[in-house]
Amino acid sequence: MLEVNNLTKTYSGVKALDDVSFTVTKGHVVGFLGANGAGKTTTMDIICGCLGSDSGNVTICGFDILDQPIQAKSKIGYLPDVPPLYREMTVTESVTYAARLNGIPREQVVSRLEEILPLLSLTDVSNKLVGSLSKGYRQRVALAHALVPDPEVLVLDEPTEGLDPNQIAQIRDVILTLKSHKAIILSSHILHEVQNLCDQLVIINKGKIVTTGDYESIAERYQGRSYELSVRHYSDAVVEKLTGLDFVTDLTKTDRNVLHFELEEPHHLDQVAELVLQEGYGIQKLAPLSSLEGIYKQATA
Amino acid sequence: MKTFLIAKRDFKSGFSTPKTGAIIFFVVALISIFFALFIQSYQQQANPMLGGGAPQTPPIQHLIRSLVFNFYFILLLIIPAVTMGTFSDEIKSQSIRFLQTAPISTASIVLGKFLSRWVTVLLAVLLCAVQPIFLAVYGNPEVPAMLSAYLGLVLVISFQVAFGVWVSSLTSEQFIAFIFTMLGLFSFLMLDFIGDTLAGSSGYVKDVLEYLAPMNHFENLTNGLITLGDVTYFLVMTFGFLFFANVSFDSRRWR
Repeated sequence: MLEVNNLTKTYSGVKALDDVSFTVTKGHVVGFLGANGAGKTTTMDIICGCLGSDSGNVTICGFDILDQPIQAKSKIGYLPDVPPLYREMTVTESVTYAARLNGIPREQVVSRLEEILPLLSLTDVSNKLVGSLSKGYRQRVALAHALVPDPEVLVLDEPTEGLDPNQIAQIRDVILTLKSHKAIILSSHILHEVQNLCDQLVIINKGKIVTTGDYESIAERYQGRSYELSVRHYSDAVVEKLTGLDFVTDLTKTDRNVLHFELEEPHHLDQVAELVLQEGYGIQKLAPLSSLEGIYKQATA
Repeated sequence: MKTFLIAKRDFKSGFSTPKTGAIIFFVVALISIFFALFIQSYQQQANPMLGGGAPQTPPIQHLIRSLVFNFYFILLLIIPAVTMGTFSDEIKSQSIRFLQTAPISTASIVLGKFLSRWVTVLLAVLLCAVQPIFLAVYGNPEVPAMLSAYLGLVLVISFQVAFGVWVSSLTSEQFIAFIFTMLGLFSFLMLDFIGDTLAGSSGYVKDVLEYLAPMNHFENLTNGLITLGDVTYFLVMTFGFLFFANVSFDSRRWR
């Protein structure tokens, strides 16, 4: 449905994107991960035709975004990082405008609005001016713009930015209900959110794709090396003791009493546990760091 | 069709702030004051008892001409104010992405935005229809000549609005767009004078400059002379600048 081939983009001599390629197919939610400035927004802007690439191309349902922009854009719904909104319109007017510009006939707009507004809990504010809404509401109005034409490809740039936990859960439910008949790509730096939503990952670092694939295979690839240890009685001596072991590498203190480290072999874990207990620091938690956080850290290191 | 959707939205949103209303009020007030002054001096010329020289009634078309010329100068201030936000505002608030990602052609966007501003200015002109109607009722104007003068006005407005729309597509700062539109329109006005000063050097340069000066074409129309050349001039200028705006909007994604 969405194919991105060999995108390269240079901003005043700095390579923002370097040979970026991936595909998103129907029925999948792809998590697009990367640090700030890694090239997520640039990629999404290029996908949606807001930005041109130096080389490479993007096809949406078989239409090239630059050669057949109108056909391609009619298949795509985009939520940019800054919600593009007209502050002087009411929510209903604004979503109606988006629907009409996307070619939905006048008589179908009302029924479409009746579907979309409750889905995003915008019914209460439907007659308020967009400019008077709080950030979370505005974000959802912009999402309504993207959803109202019922596009086949959804490109969401940090869709849950600025929302409270309940709203995030709601957006997540919306995305999961849409998932079955759409190709969705969403960027985020809230990792557990990506973990819950996405079945495939694209991790980008400094403009280059570091890894792509489905979540399980990536997790497997990176698993078994990173571990997390939290001790009950922390002192700096723990760090010294652990760095003394030659199979412990990359030791970092991430919280008051939490350490992240890598091991050469899984069975070394026993020796680490033994050491910590012998010295009387006490173990609160000792577990492999197989979550997305671990993957992300390793992939972008 | 989508062109009209964009035009309608932009036109309506112009009235969401007092800006457009204030501009229209400004036009109507100025034109009314000048019209009263014109009538006064016209009466002085027509009636020696009021202080004029020998009694000679100038044709009423003179009044119409003064009126539309007056419009021309007021428009130099008004058009930049109306067009400055056309694209600048949307570039700044990033709502431009809404249009960039909608399945519409750039030409529709540019044309829609042009139409909304064009109609806004024409609305101000329409509200100043009181004066020509007044003349038609109490005077005895040549109606075709009067219509020709107004056709000239509409064409000048098209050209100026198109110019302003283009300038606005070049910058994200409304104020810059305002200044440069005014500067540009003023330069177009000056072309005629520049042509005159250069007259000594080369006839060819003078011809080109005089052809490019909108005032020369406008003048013919205010005299009731509608020629294909003058109308074509304004249409070419209008669509030329709209084409530039189109290119500038499209090229935004490569910058």
